[in-house]
Amino acid sequence: MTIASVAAGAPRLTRGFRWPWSRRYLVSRLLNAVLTVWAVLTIVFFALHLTGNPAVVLVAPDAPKETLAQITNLMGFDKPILEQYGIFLRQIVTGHYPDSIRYGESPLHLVAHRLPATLELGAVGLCGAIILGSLAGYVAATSGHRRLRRIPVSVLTSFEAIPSFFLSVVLIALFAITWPILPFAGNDSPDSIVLPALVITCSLAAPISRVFRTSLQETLDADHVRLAQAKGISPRAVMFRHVVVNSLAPVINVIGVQAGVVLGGAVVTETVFSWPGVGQLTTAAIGNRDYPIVLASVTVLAIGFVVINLVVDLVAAGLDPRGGQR
Amino acid sequence: MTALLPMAQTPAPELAPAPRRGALREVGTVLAAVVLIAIVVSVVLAGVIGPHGYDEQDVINSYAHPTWFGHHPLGTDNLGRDVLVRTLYGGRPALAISAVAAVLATALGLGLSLLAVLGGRFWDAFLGRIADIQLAIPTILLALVVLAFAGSGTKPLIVVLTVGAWVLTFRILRSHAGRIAALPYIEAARLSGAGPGSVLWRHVLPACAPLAAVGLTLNFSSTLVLESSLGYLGLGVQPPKPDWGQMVATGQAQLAGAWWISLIPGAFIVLTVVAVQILGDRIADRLTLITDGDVA
Repeated sequence: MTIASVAAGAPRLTRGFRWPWSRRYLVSRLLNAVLTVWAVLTIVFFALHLTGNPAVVLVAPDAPKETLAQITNLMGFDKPILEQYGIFLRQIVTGHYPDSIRYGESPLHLVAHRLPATLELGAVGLCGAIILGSLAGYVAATSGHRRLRRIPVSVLTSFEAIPSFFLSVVLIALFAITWPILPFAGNDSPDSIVLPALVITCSLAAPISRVFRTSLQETLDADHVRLAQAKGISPRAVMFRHVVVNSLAPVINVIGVQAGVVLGGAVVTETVFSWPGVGQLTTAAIGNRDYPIVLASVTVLAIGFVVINLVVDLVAAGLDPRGGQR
Repeated sequence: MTALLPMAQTPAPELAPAPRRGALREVGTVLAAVVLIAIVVSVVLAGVIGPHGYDEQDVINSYAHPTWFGHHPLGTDNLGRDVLVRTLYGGRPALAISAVAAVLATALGLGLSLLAVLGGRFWDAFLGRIADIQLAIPTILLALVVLAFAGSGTKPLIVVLTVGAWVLTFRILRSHAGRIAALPYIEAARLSGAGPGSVLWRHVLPACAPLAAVGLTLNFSSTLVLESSLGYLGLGVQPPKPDWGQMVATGQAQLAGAWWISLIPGAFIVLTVVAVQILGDRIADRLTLITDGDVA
């Protein structure tokens, strides 16, 4: 079979490829993302200065007054607040953070060093949630058995009610202590990721399954599906080409909303399992009063969250262009 | 879709599928109410019920196993402190802080959503913008930053939990109140000379109150989860005062020999959250006829 014969059989893309997003939509989404990052940074800055002099947090409570004054001067906390705000924003935009107090190196390096582990955990947990959630949602929307329509989604929803730190502790008690089959701390062996990823999967699968179920049910009722059935297309082809693909956009959206659970929740999950990621670095830094690290990791996590949301919005708009052309 | 208020012309029963009223469901509701009341009452009466103080040490009996009719029904921890008594005392800050934050968040969400609907376009756009930004920041990150730098007292905790929870109520009530405000009976009230205050107080607010009640239960379960997560991370109530999240964290090191130190306070958190969610679900079910599915 030559390329030409394939091309002749396939419908030709005479109009060429078209971006599914209008320029106006792209610009407004980008502006929105930048604005959100700026708002996060501003909130962080003012949280830092809520107590007046952030040096108070950095110095041990029983330190002499001279040390406090020294630190205040060193970190520039005695300058006017607006000037400090300017310096703060400049530091972040140029990436010149103050050095970590504990490790004496740039906190961005530390965060960058830990980031792959966080992304790995998030990706594995999210993939598990997508598989589990969409399976449960699909079964709930299409199964002929009443029980199958209710039970999988209910089970996932009940996991949602358990706070993730406690779910982690229960999983440790079950699979690392009662039946010691999985490691529960660190990242020394390939199966270390199983328990923390399972926690993320459990907290994400329920919303995905519910949204997919609702979206499938709505699409199943749509006129174009009835038309496809009436034309005599095989039920399987109708299901996948006309129902499932058209039901995906809301699922992609909910994954974007839940990205905060992956990144923010990673803080809790990583701490429970001593997973060497950004979240664990952050909680350790809070304990050590290492303000530059907290600043850098919160900034990186917030930017990551905004970027994920941006990508998800664009993908969802690409799948369902009606929203993207606004 | 129109809101199926008594005002609407379409008869409700044919459109809205009647909520399932199985016997099992009613049993679940009653069970949830009983569990919630039992937890709240025993936590409030911790000092009366408990034979010990929360920091009373009984070192000879440290790591005592749970025994139903023994001196320490749910066992003791590494210092021989009674786990049941500590769990009951630990529920006080957990429940009180989350409840106050949930009430504040609901009131804030309700107030701001009414302002957005009745206050004109500027407020609507402005508050919608703020809510979007708030949603774009993972609440736990925000809480970490504020508590790490502003210190972790009761007041900062309540502020953080409130700020983290109000958006949900605002979102739900904003769309509901918008729909209410567009209904003919509001216009009729205005035409018959009711001022903005009277329209708000006598017509819009009562129509929003049931949904706000559902919002309150949602907020309470989310603030309790966040409060105990922060307690687990060491940013909530500080020892020696017990708190559910904090107790799960301190007991985790002894999970291998003494699971009850960590798992019992955790079970109390889960029971409370589940009971509140079930009750909230039931309230929402009863409301489907008038809210037309505004509850997420």
